[in-house]
Amino acid sequence: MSNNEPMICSKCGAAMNHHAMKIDYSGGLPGHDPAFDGPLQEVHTCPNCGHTELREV
Amino acid sequence: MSELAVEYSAMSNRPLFIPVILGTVRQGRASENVAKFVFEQVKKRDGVETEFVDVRELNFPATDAGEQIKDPKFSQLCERADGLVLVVPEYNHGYPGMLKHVLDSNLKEYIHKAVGICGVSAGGFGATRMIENMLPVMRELGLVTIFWDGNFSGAQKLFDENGAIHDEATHVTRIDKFLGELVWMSKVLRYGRENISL
Repeated sequence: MSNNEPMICSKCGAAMNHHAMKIDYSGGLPGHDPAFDGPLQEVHTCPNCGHTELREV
Repeated sequence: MSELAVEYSAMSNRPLFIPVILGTVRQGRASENVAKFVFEQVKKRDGVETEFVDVRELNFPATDAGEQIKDPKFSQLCERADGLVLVVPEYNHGYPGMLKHVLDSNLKEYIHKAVGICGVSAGGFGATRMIENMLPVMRELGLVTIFWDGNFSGAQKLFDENGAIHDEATHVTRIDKFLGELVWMSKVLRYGRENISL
C-alpha cells in the first residue's frame, strides 16, 4: 500500500515526514481501493523548510 | 538520497507564521476594523510573523471553483502558515460564500495546521452561529480548530470614527487568550508535521 521510501523535498533536498493520509476527491487515477471514494494521497512535510507535498498511494 | 532521520529532531527554528484573513468582500464591512485590531494583536506576539490578507483583494474568479482556481501567492502563503486567523462576519447565520470559495482553492496547504476563528456580528451573539457552521468545513480541510473563539458583537458600534476599538482592554484580554491557544496549537502541529510519522 504505502511506499516506504521517504519523499525528498523538491525545494531543499531533505527527507520529508509523512504525517497524514487524505482521500483525493478531485477525480484522480482509477484503480484505487474500493473501500474509499477516491485515491489516497500521502501528505509529507519537510522538517527543514516546511514545504508540503503529496504522493499518491 | 538524503539520510533518513531516525531520531526526532528539534522543531525547525523558523518563526511561526500566522496570517490574518479578512473573510468578506462586502463594501462597508464592519469586519475590516475587527481584522485590523486582531492583526495588531498578532503582530505583538513574540516569535510570530504575520500578514494581513483581504479576500476582496485576491480577486478570485467566479467562473470556476476548487483547486483549479488556485492563486499561487495565496497558496504559498497558506503553505508557509503554521496557523490561520479567520475574521469572519455572520451573514444569515452562516459564513460568506466568497470566503468558502477562496478557502476551497487549497487543500494540502492546510493539513494538520491550526485555525482560530474571530466572528463578527451586528447583533449580540458574536457570530457564534457562523462559527459553529464553519467547524465542519475546517475539519474537512484538515485544519485543527482551537476551543477559543474571538467574538465581536455589535460590530457597527464597536469602533470610534478613527477605527479605534471601544473598551480596548477587555478585547485585548480576550484575544490574548485566543492567540495563546492558537500559538500553542500551531507549535504542536508544526512539530507533528515535521517529526511525527503516520
